[in-house]
Amino acid sequence: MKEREKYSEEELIKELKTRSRKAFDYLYDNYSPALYGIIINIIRDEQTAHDLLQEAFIKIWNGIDSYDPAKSRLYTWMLNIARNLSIDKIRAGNSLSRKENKDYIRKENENTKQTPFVEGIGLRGLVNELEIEQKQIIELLYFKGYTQTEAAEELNIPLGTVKSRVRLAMVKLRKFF
Amino acid sequence: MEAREIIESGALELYVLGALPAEETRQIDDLRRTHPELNEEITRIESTFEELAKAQAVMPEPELKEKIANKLQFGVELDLDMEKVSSVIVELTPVFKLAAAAAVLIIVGLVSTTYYFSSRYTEANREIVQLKADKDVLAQQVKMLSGESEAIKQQLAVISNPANKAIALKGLAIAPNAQAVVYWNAQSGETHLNAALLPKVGGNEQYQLWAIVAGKPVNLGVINKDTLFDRMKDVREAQAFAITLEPLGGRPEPSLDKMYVLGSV
Repeated sequence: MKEREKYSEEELIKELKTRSRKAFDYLYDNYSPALYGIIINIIRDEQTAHDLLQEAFIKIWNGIDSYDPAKSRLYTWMLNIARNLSIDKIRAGNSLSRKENKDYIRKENENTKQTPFVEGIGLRGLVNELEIEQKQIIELLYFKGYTQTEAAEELNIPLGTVKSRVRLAMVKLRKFF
Repeated sequence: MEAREIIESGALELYVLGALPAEETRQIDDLRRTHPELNEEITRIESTFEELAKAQAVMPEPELKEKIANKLQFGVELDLDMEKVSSVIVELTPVFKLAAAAAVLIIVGLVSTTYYFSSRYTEANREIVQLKADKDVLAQQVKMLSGESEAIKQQLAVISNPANKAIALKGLAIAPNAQAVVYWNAQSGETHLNAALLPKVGGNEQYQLWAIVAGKPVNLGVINKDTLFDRMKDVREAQAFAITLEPLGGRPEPSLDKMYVLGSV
């Protein structure tokens, strides 16, 4: 498609509601890398990640009428669709992921040096700027889809500390963007 | 709580991630309506997560795009450039103008009809998807109900069998209101238990049924928590039946201090 067009979120929403091929091209070309990135980060299996990307696009395409701009930005809405599908898949697929995660945290605690967080991806460098504790909390909440309560239990810290840690991490990350 | 405090607390980050308990999520939903500064912060947090997502973007394989496009329903685009069409008509001789105009009308008519039917088609497809989902739910319910009715039929067969003797087990001091009924076939030894009126127990405990045979307790098996009516182990020459509360999985000997109900034949 022609590159001259750059839609604002409002324009894209309107265009998506017509369900035109043009809207799909724009949507896919501009958003699929970020959506695929988050899926592959959570899932770590290419075939499953392909299926999930497809599922995410079907959900976005068929669900655009139920998207509520007052609740979240379009981008965040789409990311959350991809994220939730992936997390559901992980949770349904194997309870192993929980165990692996505990192992990950243990390893991370033992070895305070930089262990792979999100391998081979640009994010890694970024997130490595964070304290170990802040990395863990982003990993659990963002990539593993833990709730506040689950994260508190997993790390054995009070609920309020979950909040303040994620806050610190996000304020720090903001400086990079 | 002050908006500032909420912002500083980190609750909004968890809100955006969907990690807050339902109650707190609702509170923030409400507060957002009256506190624009919360909305601004939420947008900032969303943008940060979006940047995080962009920073980890991975290009999917190119052939995936068409595969995905094939799974989607597209609307038909009405892409008729009327200016071009009329400029062509102007160049024509008057004789053809009328014919051309008529042709354009027919084309526009056809395209709109196609558009109309295609959107009806899309709509109908969506309805089919919905109906299929509804049908699955119903099928699930039917399956559940027929399972239940099967269980009730079996119970009825046991209860109404004249060879079965109903023995009421009455609550002992530990639980005076507890009750249970054993249906016992003295000839075949077949034993069924209705345990619907036993008090609820914790996760680490389970009831166990015993028969008293020649003055000694005989294990007839533990009682499955979710089953209210069940076939137990067979027993002959029983004098009495009793139920005790035991650790999960039961015990070889009854805990007599935890005997809930007892009834003699």
